Amino acid sequence: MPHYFFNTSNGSPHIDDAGMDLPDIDAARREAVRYGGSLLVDDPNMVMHDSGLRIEVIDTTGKRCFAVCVVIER
Amino acid sequence: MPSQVAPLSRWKEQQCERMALGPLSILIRKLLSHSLLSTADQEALAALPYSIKHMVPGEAILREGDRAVICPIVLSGFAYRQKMVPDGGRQIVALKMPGDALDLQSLFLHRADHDIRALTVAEFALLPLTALEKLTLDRPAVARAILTDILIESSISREWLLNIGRRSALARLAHLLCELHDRMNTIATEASAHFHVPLTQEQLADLLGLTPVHVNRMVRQLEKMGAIGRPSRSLTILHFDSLAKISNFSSAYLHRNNISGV
Repeated sequence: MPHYFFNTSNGSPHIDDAGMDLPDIDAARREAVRYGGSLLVDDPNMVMHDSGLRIEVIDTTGKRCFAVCVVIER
Repeated sequence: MPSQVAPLSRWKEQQCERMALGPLSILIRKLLSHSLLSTADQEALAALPYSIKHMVPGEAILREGDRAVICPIVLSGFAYRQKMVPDGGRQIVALKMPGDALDLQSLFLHRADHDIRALTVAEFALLPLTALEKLTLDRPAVARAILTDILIESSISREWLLNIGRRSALARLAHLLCELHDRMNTIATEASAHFHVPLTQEQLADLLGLTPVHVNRMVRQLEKMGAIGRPSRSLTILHFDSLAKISNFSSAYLHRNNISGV
C-alpha cells in the first residue's frame, strides 16, 4: 500500500514524520480533508491567519501529490 | 506505635499474599480498591473454578451477538471493547488491564453487544458465569462489589464520551494517558517510574476519534513538552503532572475513595 505524509503550513505548521499507509490517492485525499476538519474543530482560528490552512500531501519519493486549502474569502 | 502506617493498597496486597489466594488474587485486589470484602468473601472468590487462556493481539475473546458462558479476568496484558460500523470503521469503547473483569454484564444480559479482543499478548482466567452468579446470590458483599465495578466502568464510559465529544485533541490524548497511569498504579504491585502505553497510534486514533495523522501530531507535541517519551516508537508516560495540567485531569470519576466515603 502506498504511504503518504500530511504536512501542514500557514495557519498551523507541522511536518508529519510518520505518515500513513492508504490504498490509493483518493483515500489520501479523503484523509487529508478529514485531518484538516479535525484540526479545525480544535482551532477554527487557524484559517484566520494569512492564507488559511494548507495541507500538503507528499509521497515516499518526496513528490507533492496535491494540497488541500481552507481559506476565508473576503 | 509504628511511626508510619503502610498505604491501604499495600496493606491489601499483603493481605492477598498472606492468604495465598492464587491467580484470582488480582481480581480480588481490584474489587478491594472500591469495595469492602470480608476474608470469607475473598476466599470464596479465590475458590471460584477457572481455566487459563492465552491470546495474541487482536484475537477475539467474545464477539457481538455471542451468548457468553464465561467471564474472562485479565491476569496479564491488556484487552479492549470495540464496536464497528458496516464500512469497517471501529471505535474502541473501553480498555481493560490486569485485574479487570471483562464481562460482568453477561451475568445479566444474554447477548454480547460488542467485541472483546486482546490488545497485547494476554493471559486470562475464564470464570464460568453460573459459578459467579451463584456466588453473588450467596454473598451480598460480592454482589455489591460486582455492581460497584460495573458502575465505575459506566463512569469511565461517561468520561470517555466527554473526552471525545468536548476536549481538544491534545487534552483528549493527555486525559486518556492520565487515566491509564492512575488505573495502572491501582493494580501495580510495585511503583514504576515510567508507565509504558501499549497502544499503537492507529489504535489511539480509533479510541480517541481522531485520524492517525492527527494523533501522531499530538504525540509529537506531548513529546516536545517532555510529558511523554517514545522509545522505539512506543509511548511512555514521563511526566504525569504535565499531562494532568493539559487535560485538567481529576480522578473523581474513578471513585478511588469509595470505601471511606470521602
